[in-house]
Amino acid sequence: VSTRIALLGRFGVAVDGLELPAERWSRRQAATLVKLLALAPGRRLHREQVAEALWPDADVRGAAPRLHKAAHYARRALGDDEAVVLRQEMVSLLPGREVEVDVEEFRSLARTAAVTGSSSDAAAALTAYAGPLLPDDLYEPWAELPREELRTSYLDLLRSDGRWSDVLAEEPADEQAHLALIREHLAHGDSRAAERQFERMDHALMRELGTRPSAEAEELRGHLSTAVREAPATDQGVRLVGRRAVGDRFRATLARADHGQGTTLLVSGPPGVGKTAVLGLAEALARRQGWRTGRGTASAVEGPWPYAAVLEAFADLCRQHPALLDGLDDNYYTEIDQALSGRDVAWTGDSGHQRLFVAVAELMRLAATGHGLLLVVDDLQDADEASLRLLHYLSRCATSEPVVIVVAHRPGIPETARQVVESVVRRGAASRLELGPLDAKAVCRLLVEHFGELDEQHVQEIVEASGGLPFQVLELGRNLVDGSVSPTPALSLTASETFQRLALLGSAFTTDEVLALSHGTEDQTYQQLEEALTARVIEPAEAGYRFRHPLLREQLVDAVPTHRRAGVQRDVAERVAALGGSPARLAHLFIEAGLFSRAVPYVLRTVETAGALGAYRDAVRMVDAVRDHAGPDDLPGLLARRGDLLQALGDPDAVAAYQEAVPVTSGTAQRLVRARLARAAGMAGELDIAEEALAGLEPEGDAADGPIVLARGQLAFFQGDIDAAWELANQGRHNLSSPDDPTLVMELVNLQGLVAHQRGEWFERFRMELRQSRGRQRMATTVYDAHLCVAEYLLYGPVPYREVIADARGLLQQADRAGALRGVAFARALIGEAAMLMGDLDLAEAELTESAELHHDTDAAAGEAHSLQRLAEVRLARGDASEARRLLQRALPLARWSVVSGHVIQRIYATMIVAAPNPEAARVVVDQAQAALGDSDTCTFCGVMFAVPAAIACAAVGDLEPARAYLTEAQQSTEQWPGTAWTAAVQEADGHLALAEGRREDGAALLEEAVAGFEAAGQPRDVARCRAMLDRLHSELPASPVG
Amino acid sequence: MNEYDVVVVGGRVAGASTALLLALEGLRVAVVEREEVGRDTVSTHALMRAGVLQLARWGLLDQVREAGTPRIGHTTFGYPDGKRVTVSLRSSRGVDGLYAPRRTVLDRILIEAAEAAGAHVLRRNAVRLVPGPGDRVGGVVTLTEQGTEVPVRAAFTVGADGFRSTVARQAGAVTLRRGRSASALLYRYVHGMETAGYEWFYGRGAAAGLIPTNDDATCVFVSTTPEGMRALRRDGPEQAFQQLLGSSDPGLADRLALSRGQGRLHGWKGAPARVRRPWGPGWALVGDAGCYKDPITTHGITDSLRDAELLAHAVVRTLDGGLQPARALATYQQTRDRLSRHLWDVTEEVAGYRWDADSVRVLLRNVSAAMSDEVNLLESLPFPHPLVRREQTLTTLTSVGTVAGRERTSPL
Repeated sequence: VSTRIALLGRFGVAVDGLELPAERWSRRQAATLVKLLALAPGRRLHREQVAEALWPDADVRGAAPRLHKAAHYARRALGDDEAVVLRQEMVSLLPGREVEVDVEEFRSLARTAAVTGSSSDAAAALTAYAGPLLPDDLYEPWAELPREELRTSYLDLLRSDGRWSDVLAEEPADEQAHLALIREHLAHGDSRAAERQFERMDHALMRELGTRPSAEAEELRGHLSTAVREAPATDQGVRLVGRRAVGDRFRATLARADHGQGTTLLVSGPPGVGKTAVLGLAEALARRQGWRTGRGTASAVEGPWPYAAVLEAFADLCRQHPALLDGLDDNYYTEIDQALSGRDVAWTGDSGHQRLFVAVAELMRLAATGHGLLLVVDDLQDADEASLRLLHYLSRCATSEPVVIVVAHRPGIPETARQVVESVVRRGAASRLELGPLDAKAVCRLLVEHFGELDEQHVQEIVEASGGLPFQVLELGRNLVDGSVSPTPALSLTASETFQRLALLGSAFTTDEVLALSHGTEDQTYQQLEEALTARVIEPAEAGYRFRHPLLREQLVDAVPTHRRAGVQRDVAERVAALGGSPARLAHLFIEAGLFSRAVPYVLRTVETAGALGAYRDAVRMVDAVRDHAGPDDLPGLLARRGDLLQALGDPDAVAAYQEAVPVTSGTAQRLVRARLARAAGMAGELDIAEEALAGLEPEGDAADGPIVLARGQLAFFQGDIDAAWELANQGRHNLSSPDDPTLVMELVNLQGLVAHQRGEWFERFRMELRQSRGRQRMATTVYDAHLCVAEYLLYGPVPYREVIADARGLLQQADRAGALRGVAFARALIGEAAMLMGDLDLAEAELTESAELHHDTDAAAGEAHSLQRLAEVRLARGDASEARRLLQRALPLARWSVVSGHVIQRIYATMIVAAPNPEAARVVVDQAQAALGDSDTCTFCGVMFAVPAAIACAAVGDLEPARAYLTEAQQSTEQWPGTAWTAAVQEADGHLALAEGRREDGAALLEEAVAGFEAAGQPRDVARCRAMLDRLHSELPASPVG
Repeated sequence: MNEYDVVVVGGRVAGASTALLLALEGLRVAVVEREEVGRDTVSTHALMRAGVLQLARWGLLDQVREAGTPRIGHTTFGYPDGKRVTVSLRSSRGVDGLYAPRRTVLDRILIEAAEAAGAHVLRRNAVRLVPGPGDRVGGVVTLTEQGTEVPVRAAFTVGADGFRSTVARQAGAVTLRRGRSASALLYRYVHGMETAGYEWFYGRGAAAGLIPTNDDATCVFVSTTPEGMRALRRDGPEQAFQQLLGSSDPGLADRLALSRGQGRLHGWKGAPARVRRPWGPGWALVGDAGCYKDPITTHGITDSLRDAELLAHAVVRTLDGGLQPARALATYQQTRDRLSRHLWDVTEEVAGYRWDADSVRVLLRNVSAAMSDEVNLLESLPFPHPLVRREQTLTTLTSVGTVAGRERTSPL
């Protein structure tokens, strides 16, 4: 019997030449054990090494039964009782059998090739490398080192064999490979090919943070005499005709920022008004003051990767100041580099964008240190949503730094962009700068500056025809001088067609793309390029070319007849796809061209990366565009990911999305979808759906086991079976398979937190989790989510508010350093709430506003709702009931969809009652709330928050029966939490009821007790409210029952 | 009649580098150094990127490597709250890593390069300045080993004679700024210690650093305020060293204990920073003589390598009559101050030892930002230095190409 084990490119075992079916490996632990041992020298490891690799969290005693179980299933899978042997302290795979492992084979061939240096030996070794080691186990820590070692030796072989194109397929930015190819082209006398290779290298390096071509590369470029092609200077002058006021505004803004009051300027104006030139002016002014600058341009047409517009600006910054990266934490560097590179990233389900946001903000602060930083983002109207969110976050970070962000956009931007713009303006973090057309005098000056004196009649004609738009002024002026008549630069027919196709591709393009889209020969195409350059339709860009102005590109697009547009787009998409390129771009091109089924495979890859980088909304849009065109192989993945994306966004449609995915999936994939469906349905309160989804799912030793246990635990919690939930959560954490799935861990922590709260043990639990998650960033990020309701215990309990604030500040710093934005948001909310309760409304407003924004940026709907609700209370305390109501209306839909809706919604309605314009309206809110809340899934502790104002509101309109019922509910709820300020609140409600029942003395006494209780708790606003009520009573005026 | 165009007093990093660059320009240069060439000296000898870049530009980095100086690819920062941050060094033109050569290695390489370029090295003590025409300085009077006073006349005198510069004192160089903070240091060389590259630790009122250097040794230093050090040293330097090690990072003592052997302790009692006006008629200062910063940011050698080139450029311009001496030297001062001021301010703060976990992060961010400016300036200079023979830098570049032109370098 001979056995062959494949670990390269895939995992598979063949016995006597027959491949074992994949189903044999459904037990994940068994498969992992076989892989691990196959990789080990002599296929044997010490049992502790096995335990350490597979169950790093388990102790020796815990690991032993798991090892036996895994070995058992491995033997069964291999169909050989002696396949895995545990003898003494060693674990061996197929000892004494005839076994071939492809990794060993490759290693041995690679060694031979290294010794002989012969090309045929290298070729033999390269053939043996079927792909990266165990590509399905990317997150197994034990596989990482060998994978990298094998890949490195594969790359070394490619290099030693001079297979440079293959090297570039693996490492697109490998300069050595690019240079070798350039030299090859030059040796063949093909300088055009050499130039194109340079362009490819420049392109690749632009996606690497802080990398520039080496001295060697620049020297070689210098030798390519024809290739020396200056990119246009980006440095504009510090003077623009007719824009003196704009220059003054920039100077003032920079001066303020120099004193630490950074801001964002939103420059808007119609196309051709000179926004880009104005951005150049801002850059020139900033540089003149020694500021660092960075510029990015959004571009919808190219189908950019997530965050492109903003990250491009940082890439530009780092190219100019690469040594800044010597001060950037590797963790931050990795986050930014990964997002910038556009490499495919697998989505593990956690929200990495929070870390990216923190990393980018840190780079921003670093770059601003010393002199100041100007960031420029052009064409915001074309930005992806992920870029907008990041920009929103950065705008707010900029306010306390010497940072100015200048963003340009056309009027009529998309809804999300508009929201972002309005939000930062409302927060005082940004101001607008509208660019209007130039007046007649400025148009004259501009013409004189560019073309010398023109005769008056012509000038007048241009003033009128241009509408004062500088772009038009210059085009018309140039036409006049050149003597041409057409407003569009003239190109030959074939060149026009080529550049029309390129215009459909985007605003910037490479020579490779020009060649791909031209229907002519290479010579003809190069002639067309020259023609377009001469006609100033295009200009050289950092790597390749770009249209000189968006309007020129748009004119070319418009010149394609509508009936031919689709056909041309298809042609463009297919030709560019043949070149390869980023999946996001190809997905986008095929969608634009209406070739949806062609787009599907690219969408699948794009969605994965977008999910990992937190660009959920952009990804959902892309999936929705192609889902109806996906074939049976792609549809399951597409639909499952659609559910994941919606779930990550907190969108209730996730339930329906998963339901759609169930019938098209099978095996482990289906089990996973069902577990996720159950979770989503549980949160949405659809417990029947959740139960049905989980029915019949048993542990099978596959990747779905953990999520299934979690979903069962969550379902038990929602069904009120706290003990079962606790049991399942603990079981889940105990049995977690290696490697730790961070999302799963966090969900389990969440569940434990909720249960702990129900049992009154939350505070201890929370501190314990914080201690344990210290230094484990991923863990820390969502430990906070379980807090939202349960932190109320802390706030209304015996801990003085100043202490709470001090603790929360500590928490904030800790979370900030860990890059846990949700933790920061949580701490800020806690500070804001404590400040509000102790009467410091300014602090409360500031912190809660920030907290709401941070939660929004991180797609944490529950936290955002919570902060908005608290903010409404602050507005209410300031006497602004209508603003409070507006905030509550915003909070309500957010709160409905969240794991803690049962808590937050009650408080939102409670505040709505108090914010109602009159007692009758308040009473109506009570009924609405009752209808909305139902009685199944509300939190008993939070119940008091709603019951107290509800009782008071009912008493106020003489509706005594429900008032008594709510009071009883409040009393019961409070009994569970003795020693909190809620006792006083219940006394206050009791007092109102007594007064409504005509028991004046009882009422006064209860209110006095409430005053004492609130005083003891340090809640001055509540004290004042009860006192006012008492004062009215004592002055014998008819009392108004609502405070 | 002057024997030399320039006499450089001091033959360590700043002096030897200046002499090298001036000699490359074809000037007649003398270096007066009282110590034996390449003798060890008190130094936290960690080079930063700008320093490595200069050595690479001058074609000397290979010699540093060949001397067995380990390449450093990472810097780790340890903060008072126990957090660790690692920064990996990315390669850039000429810089494949950081290096911290022993002064016995670096100083020797520099002075030998200066000699090879034609500078005369005089092993003597400089005792006083020689008056030149008008109010100019005309060289230095030196004392030979035999005790004879020999004047070395030169058109220009450079003081590269360190913190307690004789040239500065005798020329009456005005002190422009004086710092308040100072670090007192204890350090030793430890053999066979595992490090992750440069490691800097900022503890409570104390700091420590690990600097891997030649011969499998690591320079381990601890520092605190001079007052703090005096108090700690009452129980002896060893006690003080251990105490400060523990205050900087609790794990350091154990790591040291695992090493193969620890050398004897050296100390530096600390002195407040000082910036002098670095030039006057016929004279200029470079290195610590002109601008001394506290060693806590370990930037002194890097500064010297940078300023040597700025000064050499200015001196050439004053001697070849191309530019008014005052203008050339004032430009030297301006550039030096522009690049140093920020770092000087931060170093003052860091050397105050009053940081906490947050403020020290902000301070170090400032250090990084300041270093980036310096690298930007040096990267804008020709690579390699146009007067350095191309073959000297070939291995640094690992490239082929034509011989660079011999134009004059223009850093300003």
